[in-house]
Amino acid sequence: MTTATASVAALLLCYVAAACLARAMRRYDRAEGSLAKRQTARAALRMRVGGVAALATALAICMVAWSPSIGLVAWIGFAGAGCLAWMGLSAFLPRTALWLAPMGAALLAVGLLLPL
Amino acid sequence: MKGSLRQSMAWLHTWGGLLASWLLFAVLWSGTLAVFEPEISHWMQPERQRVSASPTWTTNAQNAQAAVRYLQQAAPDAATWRIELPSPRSKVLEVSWPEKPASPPAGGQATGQPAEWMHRVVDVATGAGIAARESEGGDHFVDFHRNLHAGVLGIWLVAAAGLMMLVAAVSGIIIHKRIFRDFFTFRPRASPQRSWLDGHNAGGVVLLPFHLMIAYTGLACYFAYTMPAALNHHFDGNANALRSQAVLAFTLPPTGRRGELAPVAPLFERAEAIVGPGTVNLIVVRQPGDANATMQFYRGVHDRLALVADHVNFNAVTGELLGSQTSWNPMVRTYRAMVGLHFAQFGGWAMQWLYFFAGMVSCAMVAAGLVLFSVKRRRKQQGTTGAAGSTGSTGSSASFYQLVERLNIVSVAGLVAASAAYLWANRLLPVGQDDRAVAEITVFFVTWLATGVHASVRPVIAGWCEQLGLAALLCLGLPVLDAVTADRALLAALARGDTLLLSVDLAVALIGTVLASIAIALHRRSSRLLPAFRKSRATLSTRRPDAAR
Repeated sequence: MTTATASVAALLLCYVAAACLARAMRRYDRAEGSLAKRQTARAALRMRVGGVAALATALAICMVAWSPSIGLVAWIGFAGAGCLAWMGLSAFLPRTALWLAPMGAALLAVGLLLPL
Repeated sequence: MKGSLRQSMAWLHTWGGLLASWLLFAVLWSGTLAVFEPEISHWMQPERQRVSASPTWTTNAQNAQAAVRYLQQAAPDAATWRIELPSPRSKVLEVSWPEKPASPPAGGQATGQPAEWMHRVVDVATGAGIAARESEGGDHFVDFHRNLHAGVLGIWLVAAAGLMMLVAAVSGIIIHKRIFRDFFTFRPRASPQRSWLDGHNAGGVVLLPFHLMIAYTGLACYFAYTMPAALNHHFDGNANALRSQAVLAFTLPPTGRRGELAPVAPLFERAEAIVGPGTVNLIVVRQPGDANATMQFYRGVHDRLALVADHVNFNAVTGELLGSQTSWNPMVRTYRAMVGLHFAQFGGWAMQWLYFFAGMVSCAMVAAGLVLFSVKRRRKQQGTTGAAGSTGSTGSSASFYQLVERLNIVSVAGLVAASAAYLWANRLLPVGQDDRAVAEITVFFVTWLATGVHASVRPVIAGWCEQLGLAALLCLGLPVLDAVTADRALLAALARGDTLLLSVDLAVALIGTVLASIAIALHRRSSRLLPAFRKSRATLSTRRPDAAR
């Protein structure tokens, strides 16, 4: 995997992770108002697990594309960038931010499966 | 101490942060630009690209041979030759040498003046050397980030700002009650105080690892100043003695006899066999005309975190291998890993952009903190003056807050405008002007000073709008300026597919767009809030005599 592909994949995964983790928070759920329905504890847990899994996958991709030491630094950077992207988009364009997360995940799945 | 630990930390975060932030913003801003130092230097010296054939078409062994051939004609008596081979971030073959002898002539006295280094780009096809316009380029931002162009005093000031950044980050963690719950919270449409606080918190919390890392590694880079205990104990404070133990030197004494240099290509291949194929990016030839000339091949550091350059050393006349260093003391490696984390030479474009992005967000976080301080105090002040029996210190504190607001404008918007003016100066000053590099830096400081004068005479909100607008105009106008000056550098770059030059123009235009949108949003918001703001100022001034009585 080239570092360019890994950068795009890690950024998308971190964005998806931020979306999942934010949606798992009750406070955030309330803050979104009419856009979000109150979710059950089980759904919140699923979101949380999904978010952590996305972050772990991004870490693995970074470590494979660079070295473990550089990959860790890159992952921290992408995690921050993904969080800020989610935060900015959900503040100004909440609907787009919500739709972009599953779209990003789908794009990533297609992108990763295509070479196989 | 003020009550509980959290209250004490809040006080420290507010006041320590405020006093350090004016300087910290400058350090962070210049550090963020310094990430792209080679690219900015490339943009500021468009002549460097005027070679008839790209050196990336030839092998580096051939490039090295071409460079040595050029140096043998251009600087046969120089004490040292430096040959920087093409890399993805600087696609030219560059050579440099000290113009004056580095050591005094036999029996003579040292002048005490440092040697002036000459730089040339070598055209591999023709063997000619191309002199670019005199400019500090991106090094100006590196030096400003390192010591504010103020020598040792500047180093101490920057170190103090870095220490305060670390203190502010730790105290910020302690005072933030809901650090995880607020992780994704940003409400730009809430009240001004709330949205600035959210912006400050968001940038601070999400990039907390970056802030802690960059502040600590920055202090570690200056360990000789900030943490000198070990150096003083083991080396009597002599950093060179420490360096000579950490980095092996394989030098030979000059003989005074002439010597003919051996062909470079075979030495190059032997060096790459030791440090890794395709990794050598710097060659240093010492006493090149002497029978004891040495040739050092340095490995690039772009693929490793620790900033340690393995090197192989040859007798440049006989081709004898003098020695090499490819393994490093663990302490040196640890220290250089910290330096490497700060300098971000590793990981390619993705890492450089991540550092740039993180730096920009950090600048925004500091700026949001500065604005938040003013917004909060303005509200408090309105409350105090609105209440009966206001304290006698209202007048002096109002003057202090006015000063803070104006310093905020200069340190944020003024610095950005000055940075853009520095780039404009590069294109507008005559190419042959004496001390041109100094003149460019003078333009930077004069513009910054002018923004200070402007901020002191204009109302606060107008000051912000006008200076941000000026910075936006300068940034957005830069690609246009680039297209009409320096022999139409932008158009030539387009024709040549010079992505380095184009990316600088594009990035500056992008920054200009962001600045313009902030200036417009601020102007719109202020036109709504201005009547209330004027009313509160009028209330403040009419109540001040009562307060004094």
